[in-house]
Amino acid sequence: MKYLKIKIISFFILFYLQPVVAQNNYVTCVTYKVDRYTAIGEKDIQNNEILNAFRTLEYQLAYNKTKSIYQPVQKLSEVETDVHYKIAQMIAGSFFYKDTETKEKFEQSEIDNEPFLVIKNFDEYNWEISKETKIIDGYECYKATCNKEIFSELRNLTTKFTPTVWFAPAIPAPFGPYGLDGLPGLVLEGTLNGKIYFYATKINVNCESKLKLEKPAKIKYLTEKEFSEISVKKTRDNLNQRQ
Amino acid sequence: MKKFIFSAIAMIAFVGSSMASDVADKDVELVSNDYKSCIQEAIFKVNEDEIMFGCLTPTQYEFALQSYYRKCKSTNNPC
Repeated sequence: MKYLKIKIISFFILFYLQPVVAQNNYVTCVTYKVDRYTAIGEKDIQNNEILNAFRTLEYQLAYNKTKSIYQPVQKLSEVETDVHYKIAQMIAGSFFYKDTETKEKFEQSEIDNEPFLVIKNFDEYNWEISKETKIIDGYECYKATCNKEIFSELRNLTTKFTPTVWFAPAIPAPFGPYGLDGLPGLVLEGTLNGKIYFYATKINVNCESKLKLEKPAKIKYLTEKEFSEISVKKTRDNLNQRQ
Repeated sequence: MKKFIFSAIAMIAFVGSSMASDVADKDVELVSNDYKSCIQEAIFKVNEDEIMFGCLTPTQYEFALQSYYRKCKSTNNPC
């Protein structure tokens, strides 16, 4: 009788715990497209090599309860060969990883074809959420904006980075494309500096079998300061090689 | 007569060496102009990108600048 009680209790514990464990491993994949944002009345640019490459890019944000990875869908061979494609991908973002449990955030970048993972500030953006809403794919989305200043050592210049995003509180995942995250809902649409436009085209609620959300291994991790110092030095060296 | 022959030889040698140094100067000038024009072209192209996509982050700027510069150099070099 005692064993039967234990068995029943164990069964109920497992029965209730299983969805919690499953939910943690349950991966959702969101596909994003990027384009140049054309304001009303502004003439659209045609036949620009970077823009043409830019418009072919497609990204996937894969996330579970605690981790997310944002990366391009395109094959590596295409990226390696074409300069315009590479620059377009650099502008649209290459790879972002976020773990809300360990409070880690990384962005992949490269110097002279060598990839590095740059350690980002976990709460990188100080979002201001407005009351403005709009419906995207049936989800009510709220507008959030942010202002960030970035100093360029090479140019001795401070530039402004101003993302505007639309997030859906009905999808309670604090993730988004291009490392634009930390909001109480999934980011479905947005602009960067009012010029780059990205938007979700597809949400696949179960792509568990295809992806593992693991922190990249066998790659050098650098702080933003370390990366900046190496990048500036390499740029200066490369531009000074006259032959 | 001997004086005339020596003067002629000296003149030819002088003209020859001047021409050779002219060619060398032109070579140096060509390399230098090529280098300058590639830097200018790369900066111009990155500026065009910034007009189209807004301010680039330092990493994006440095990457684009180097990529355009390398592309220009490889296009100008026939070897």
